[in-house]
Order: sequence, then C-alpha cells, then structure tokens
Amino acid sequence: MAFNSTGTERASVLRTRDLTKDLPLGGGVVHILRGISLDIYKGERVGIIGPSGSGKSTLLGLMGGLDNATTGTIEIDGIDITRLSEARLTEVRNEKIGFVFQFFNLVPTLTAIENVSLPIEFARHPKFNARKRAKELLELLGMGDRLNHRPSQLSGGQQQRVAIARALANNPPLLLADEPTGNLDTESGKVVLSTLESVQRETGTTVVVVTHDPNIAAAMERVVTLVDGQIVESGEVIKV
Amino acid sequence: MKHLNFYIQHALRDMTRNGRRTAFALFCVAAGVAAIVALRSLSLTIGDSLAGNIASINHGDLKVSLRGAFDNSIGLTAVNDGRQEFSPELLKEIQSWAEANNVKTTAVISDANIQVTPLDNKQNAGRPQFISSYIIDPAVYPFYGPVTAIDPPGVPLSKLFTGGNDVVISKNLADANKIKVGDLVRVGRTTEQFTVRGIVPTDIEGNVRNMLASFFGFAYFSNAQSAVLNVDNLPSEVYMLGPAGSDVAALSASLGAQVPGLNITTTNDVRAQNQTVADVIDRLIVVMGLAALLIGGTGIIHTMLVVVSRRTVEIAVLKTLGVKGSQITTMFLVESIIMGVVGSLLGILLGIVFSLGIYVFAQNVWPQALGFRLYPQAMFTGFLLGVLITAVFGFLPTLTAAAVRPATVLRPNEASLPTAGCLPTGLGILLVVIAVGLIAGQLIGNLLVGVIGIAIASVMMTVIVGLLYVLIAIVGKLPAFGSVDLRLALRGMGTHRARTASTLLALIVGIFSLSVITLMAESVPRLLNVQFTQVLGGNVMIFGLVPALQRPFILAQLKDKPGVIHYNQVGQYSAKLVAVNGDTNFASRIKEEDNPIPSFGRKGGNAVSYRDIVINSLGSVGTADVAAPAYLPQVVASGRPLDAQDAGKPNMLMQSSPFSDALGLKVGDTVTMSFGGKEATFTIVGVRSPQNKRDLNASSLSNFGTFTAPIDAIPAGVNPTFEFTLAQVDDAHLNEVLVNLSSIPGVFPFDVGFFETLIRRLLEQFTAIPSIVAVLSLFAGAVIIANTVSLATLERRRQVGVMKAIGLSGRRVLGQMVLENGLIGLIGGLIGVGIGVLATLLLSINSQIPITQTISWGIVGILLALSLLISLVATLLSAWTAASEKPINVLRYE
Repeated sequence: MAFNSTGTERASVLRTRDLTKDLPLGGGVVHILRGISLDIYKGERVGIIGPSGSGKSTLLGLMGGLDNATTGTIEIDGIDITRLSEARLTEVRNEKIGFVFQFFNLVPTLTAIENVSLPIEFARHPKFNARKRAKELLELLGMGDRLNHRPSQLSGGQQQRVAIARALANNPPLLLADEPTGNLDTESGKVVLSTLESVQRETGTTVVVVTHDPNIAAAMERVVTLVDGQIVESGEVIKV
Repeated sequence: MKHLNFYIQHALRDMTRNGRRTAFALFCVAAGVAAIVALRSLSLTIGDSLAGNIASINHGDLKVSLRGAFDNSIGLTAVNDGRQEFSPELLKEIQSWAEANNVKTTAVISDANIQVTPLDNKQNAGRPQFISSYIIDPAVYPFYGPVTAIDPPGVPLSKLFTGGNDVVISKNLADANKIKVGDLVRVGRTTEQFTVRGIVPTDIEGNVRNMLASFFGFAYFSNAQSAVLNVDNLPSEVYMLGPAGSDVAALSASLGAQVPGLNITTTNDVRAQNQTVADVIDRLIVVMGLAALLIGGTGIIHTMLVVVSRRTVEIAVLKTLGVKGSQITTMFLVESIIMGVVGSLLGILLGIVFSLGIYVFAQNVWPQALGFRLYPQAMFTGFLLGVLITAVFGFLPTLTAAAVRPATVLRPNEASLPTAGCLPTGLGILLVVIAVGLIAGQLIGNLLVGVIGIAIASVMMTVIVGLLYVLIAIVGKLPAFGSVDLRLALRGMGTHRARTASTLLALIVGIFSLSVITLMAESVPRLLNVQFTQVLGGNVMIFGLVPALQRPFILAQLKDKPGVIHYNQVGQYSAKLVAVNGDTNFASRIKEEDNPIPSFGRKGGNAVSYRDIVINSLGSVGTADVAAPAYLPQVVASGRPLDAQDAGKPNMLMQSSPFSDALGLKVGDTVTMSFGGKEATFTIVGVRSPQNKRDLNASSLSNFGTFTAPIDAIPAGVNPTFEFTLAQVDDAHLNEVLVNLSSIPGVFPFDVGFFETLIRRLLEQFTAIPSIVAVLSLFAGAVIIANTVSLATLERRRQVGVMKAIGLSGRRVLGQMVLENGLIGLIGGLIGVGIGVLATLLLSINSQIPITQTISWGIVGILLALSLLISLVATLLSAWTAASEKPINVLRYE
C-alpha cells in the first residue's frame, strides 16, 4: 500500500518482486533483468526509460504476460500471473491488459472497427457489445470517420490510435505501450501521446510506456530508469 | 562464378537457420521426385514383365492360326462350334513344312467356349465362369518350358492327365469356385462329368494378351477327349518350336510362302508389340509423374517467394554493399538448386518406399506376374527432373529478388516484395515454359509437342488459377455470421490469393483425378449392368447347346415359376433370301456400287460386291416368342407389330434399312427365305424405321436381324446361328432359378451381373495406373498444402503473436488456421469431386437412369472427407508449433 501526493491511499495495479530474466546465449547465460521490484498504482502514468539493452522491453513483456520470468513474481490486480496456466494467462491478457506496440500490429485483413472489436469478441465473458464499443472508442480517439478503413489505408498516427482503441476495448486496468511513437513523425507522435494522456485522465486506466524518447518520458507522471537490468532510479517527473 | 562458394555458404546457412521452412520446401520436391521414381520403376517393372516371357505368351517360336476374321462377320465363311479350325489338308501342308524345316509342332483347340462349373457347390452352380479352354496334347504342350501344378505340387502337366475325363484348371478358377483336386465338375458341350486332376498357376496362360484367362481362369483338356466334348478334333492354333538358334523371321517367311492364308505370329512380333506397349506405358507414366512434380514445383515457387520477401531487407543491404542484381538472382538460384538436389535425394528414398507399395498394388491388378527390383535409371530420372524443375521454378522468384531496391534499408519496416517488372517476368515465364516443355518433350520423344503441350497447359493453368483467384476473393468477402473466427479465416484466405489459388489447384487436380477414376470405375459397370438389363430385357441369359431340343425344358423351368417376372426366347438364323414377291431375279433390282469391296488381302478370297452384302444382310432373321407372357409388341412405323395372333404364322416384321430400301420392300410384300435348304415364305406385316431401334423394351426384343419372325414360324429342324432365352428374375429367387436351369444338361444360364464383373475387372486394369498417379498427385497436393500453411503461418507469426497478446489462446489460433484451411480443403474437394461427378453424369445422359443410381454418393462423401482430412492434417502438422509459440518471441524478432 502506498500514498499519493495528497496523502490518499493508492492501490497497486501491477506489482513485481525480485523479478529476473535470464537467457542462454552461446553456451553462457545473459542476465537481462536482475531482481526488479516495482509497484505501479491505479491511474498512474509511468514511463520506463533506459539505454538500449537495459531490459525495458523484456520487463514490459513480462509485465504483460507475454513471456515467462526466470524467478520472481508479477501481480496484476492481485493475481500472480507467473503461476497461471497458459489458458488463464490468455484470459488475464484479454481482460486486464491492453497492448500498444511500436509497429501498431493491426491485423492487416481487418478494418479499423473490426480490429478494435477483436479483444471483446475473443473475451470469454464479453462485457460490451463489440461493435458498439469499438465505434465509441474510435470516435473518442478521433477516428470516427475511418471506421471501415483497412490498416493499409491509414497513416501511421491513425494506425496507432486504432491500436490504442483496441488496447482499451475491454476497459483493462493496465495499458502497456512499447515505444508507441517510435515509428511516427513528430506531429503524429504528439497526437498519440496526448491520446494516451487523455485516456489515462478520462478512463483512469494505468498507462505504462517503455521509451527512450525524453519528450515522452517528460509527459509521464513517474519515470523508472533501468540500466543493465536493474532499476537505478524511480521518481516523479518534475514539470518545467 | 568466383563467388560460388559464398553463394553456397549463404544458401546453406539460410536453409539450416530456417529449418522448418526448408523442410517443407524439400518435402515438396521430394513428393514430386518420389512420384517419378515410383512410377518409372513401375513402368520398368511392367516393361520387364512384357519382355520377359515372350515364348510363354506366344506358346512357342511361331503361333499359327487362320486368317479371315472379317469374312466371318459378314457370314461368308462357315463357322463351326464358335471357332475357326484348320482343315485336315491344311494341317497336312503345315506338318510337311514343319518336318522339312526340322520344326516341332503341337496343335491346340482353343476358344471352344467350354465352361467348367462345380457340381456340389450350390452357391456357384449355374453361374459359369467365362473361362478360356484349351484342348491340348498333354505329352507335347507346351514348348516353352515345363508346366508344373501347384496341386499336386510339382507334377508336370503331362502326368496330370490319366486318359479319362480329366481337366486341369487354373488357380484363379479353382479359388473362385472353391474347386479342389479330385472334385467332379460339369463342363460345357457334354453331359459327362469330368474330374479335376490338377491346379496350375494362373499366369501360365493369363497375361496382357489373354486377359480373360487372368480374370476368370482357364482349363486344359486332353485332345483325346475331344469327342466327349463334342468338339471337332481339328485345331484352331498350331504352335511351333524351331531348332535351337533358328531365325524365327525366316521360318515365318518360309511357312507363309509355302502355306498361304495363315496368320503367323513370331516371338519377334510379340516382342516388338510388347516393346511398343512398354514404351507407351513408360512415356505415359513418366509424363503423368511429371505432372506430380510440376505440382511440387509450385511449392518451390511459393517457398522461394516467401524466402525472398522475408529477406528483402537483407537483399537491400547486400545491394548497398555493391552486390549486383544478377548476383542476387544467382545467389537465390543456388539456394533453390541446393533445395532441388537435397529434395531429390530425399525423393529417391521416398520413391523406393512408394515403389514397394505400388508394386504390391499393381501385382494384384496387372494381368501378368511382375517382379520387384530397384531401378537405378528410375532414380536417375527422378533426380534429374527434380533438380531441373526446382531450378526452373525457383528462377521466377529470384527475378523479384534482383528487383529489390537498396533504399529499402532506410525503411526496413515498410519493406515489401517488389515486382520484377513486366518484361523480365514475361521473359522469365517464357523461359520456364520452354524449359519445362523441353523436359516433357524429351520424355515423350517430341520436343515441339512437349513445348506446345506445356504452353497450352500453362495457359489453361493460368486461366484456372485466375478463376480460383476470383472465387477466393468472393469467398473471402462472404459474411461471417458474427463469428470472429470465421471472419479471420475468410480474411486470411484472401491474404495471398494467388498462392491460395495455386494451392487449391494442386488439391483439385489430385481430388479430381481420384474422383473421376473411382466414380467412373464404380458407375460404369453399374450403368452397363442396368443398361444390359434394360436393353436386353432381363437379368438372366440362358444358352443351350441344341436350342431346338432344349427350348421346352428351359421354358418348363421359367413358366409360372416363383420369382420369374417375364421371359422370352430370342434367336437369329442365317438364311438366304431366294425370292421377293415370288420373283427370284430380285437381285438385279439392287444397284451395284462402282467398285467391289476389297477382299482384305485374303488369298484366294472373293471380292465382295455391294449386292452380296445386301443379300447377306437381308438373310438375317431374328426370332421372338410372340406368345410369351408379358410380350410387348414393338413400335412400328407402318403396318402392325407382331403379337400373339402371329404365333406359328409366317408373318414378319422388317427393320427399315438401306438394304431393305435397296429392294424397295414394304408392308404386304412377301419374302422367301431358304433355311439350310428348307424354304419358307413370309409376309411383311409391319416395318420399323431406323429411329425405332432404340425403343427396345423388356420383352419385345428381337433386334437381331433385318427381319423378325415368330420363333415357331421357322421351319422345323433348322438350327439357329444362336438362340438364347432371356428372363427377368427377382433377386430373391435368382440363385434358385439359375441352379434349376443349370440342371438341364447342356444348358448354361448366365447372370447378366457377370458382365458387370467382367467390366469391373477390365476397369480395374485400365484404371490401375491412373489411380496410382492420382494418389501420388494427391500426395503432392497434400504436401503443397502443408507447405503453404507453413509459409502462411511463417508470414503471420507476428499477427499470431498480436492475437495472443490481446487474449487469443494458442488453441484458438490453431483452430482458426484449421478453419481457414478446412475451407480451402472443402472448396478443393467440392470442385474436384464436382467435376468428377459431372464427368460421370455425362456418361449417363442417354441412359435414362436416375442420377441416384449412376453416382456412388458414398464415394463422393469419402472423397470430400479425404480432401478435408488432407487439409486438416497438413494444417495441424505445419501450424502446431507456430500456434504454441510465446508471443514475446514473435513480437521481438519479427
């Protein structure tokens, strides 16, 4: 349990303890993450920064249940995902986590609205009407006039906004973004960033962004710095 | 070529690092090569079998029979007991020539249609086999080697005959009728019983030139028994053995010059004919195998395109480093050639396994004994074709590799496969067509035909792939009915339409070939059986040795008997027209044609005039029992039909034809016929027009002559050319009626279903090789599908990773792929089987037989299921690991 700046109690959405990740390489072992213990709270906007090879993306993958940790625990909404079966982990990813990738990763054969509908349609117990919810989200993100466009018919910024809408489809408590503006021009990057900010503000979704772009890091409330698989710094961003 | 080492290293590394993709590509080549190796081995085995026992097939160095089969057909030569026999004078001439030339001879009476049926086996009694019978001289026959019995084991043929009523039968005849050595059997042409003294191997007489013996068996009788068998002791064939080292061609020429009118077949003739057959089979088989390899070749195109598209950035990097487009092309060509070499070697191994399976199958259907061995030339052909086709097919995608722009390195995530451009693509396709055409031309022995054939086939394939492309585009847009899995499957199908279309084509080719063969093989005998029954008007045909005598006994077994629905007795007499309306000079009214019809080289034979043919034709008189129950009068164009009131009266129905027109015959005219010297005058009461020929119905048939007369209006004591009784008997009583009829001495009832058996056996022969090819094509099709699915999953790894990241389980990812490829399998099956069904239905357009009876719907279902199964198994095999991969691996490294 922790407290925010106004002294109110804040609940952890994501908690890691002594998280390590080793990978075999050329007969030896590379220690990608070395004992990461981190709490991310409800409604927070957190940036994870660090130099190339520091383990940022690996940490994000572990937090999203995309990969298995070597040791340690990861709790999302109180559920230790390191102990879950693949089937249950799939459900957790569907209900609790939204992903935004650097290269958008939209399904090329589906339209914008179909892409956004996917997580709801995949859900074991859908909480929304897939099409209605997808339309609402796309309109919220300013994509109401591009509902039936395929990814190839959208600009990079537009594709990323569709990807954010898709990440929010099941109203997950946690949104994980890996270099969300890394493949965009400055203008599009700004739009995407402001979209993430407004999402966090209006929906209360916790947003975790992995980046090495200082401008993006500056837009976060808190920044965690990783070096060589260890947290070397964690603190609130001071707006200048 | 100074960089060859680099190219090879590069190719090998790419292949090993992408082991899974390489494995499927190699399997595509291997499947095609295996088909070639297996089929070529089969054709060489058949060739060996055809070349191996020439003397046995010919029964000696020379086989001599009489010429003149054509003359028989127009009735100019007297026919005795159903065969042509040597006259004693001619035999003497042959014998004196043989003695003068130191040639041994043995004479055989064959084709005398002597049936053998077991006495004590109710099941088979009355259902004679259509066997070949040989009345031989056991002491001499045959020349080409000893014939020893299977039972009693090792006893030579000459020792099996004891001098009594003995018969030696083939193994297949014994097996089919459950006859054992020592059993008493009833044989045709006599009421005396014979004892089975031995059982000999079927392939002694059964071979490609005597398929009936292979299908139904044969029997040997001693010529000492020819009197008991009521057969003239005059041979129909004489077999000869020349002195060791003699020139059979010279012997044949000498005999032909001294004794004219003989039909002489030498071992050289048989060898040449068999060689021709073997060559045709070899070419046919290898070209069919090439088709399987070409299907495999499309897999290589798919794989190389994916290899190039996935290495677009790498190619761009190499280009920025100064590697030329032509070098890039060579680099990828080297990779495809290496795949060709390794795949072909694997194909040879697989081909050996296939050869063994095919040999076991072929041995059961091929009418001659086959020997199995490995053929290095088959392996060499497979290897060579495998490497060539892979290189040729791998060439097109390498052109696109050369077209990759170096600027791609700057935007690696936007890298997409470039097109090679119209001109290079066009030239590339032309080169591929010419290369494959030359390969095919080399195989069939005509390069131009090969190139033109492949060019036409390519155009057709392009059109078909184009149609399938459109079909897939339409299917991809079909509604998913709210199912997200179906929507993804439908959209997935539309992602690479050209690849999906060519994969579909491979599957369709396999399924179509198999469906046409199996459906036709199933439907043709069925159709023929139904048609026989409909056209003949019954399902039991009854033949007697002395029809005039046996007629009342046969009738007694049919009239008012349970299960007998109706029957009729039908015959045909060869009479001579002697007067028309009392005018014996009627022949002068026939306008003679300008040229006499040639005598077809028959030495001493008379040239046949048109007048002769007209008179001969008008002497053909069919008979029918107009008083039989359920007799249906025929439809006439003028006058009236024959009916019960005509029984015993000299009235006739005439079939209108150019021959009857030549004499201007009409209703009311009288014709006087001479039946072996007994004259009778008939009145024409009705005329059937040629159009009425098809209106045969159940019990009014008598379409065996220009005229039809009541059976009892023919002068007494005249023997018909043939006569048989037809009866329609319900299935429940069929066996009982057959057994009762066969109890009449000298009477043989045939179940018309026998024809179905015969046709079925013949079809088994003719469809054996195409069946093997179809199965191998289908196998190649299955491998292509596995390859395509594997490539699709490879390309969609990232998509799979994303899907899993947003909450789709691995099992459901797999399910989607299964659904997508199941749809492809279903479409392929429906099209392939659909065309097969249509082709089969075309056969029955005129038969008026309902579709439900023509098509075996069980087989249709099995083929559809097979198509689905192939797609599903191929999908599961190739997509399993992709679906179970961790999303992070995919997202990070893709």
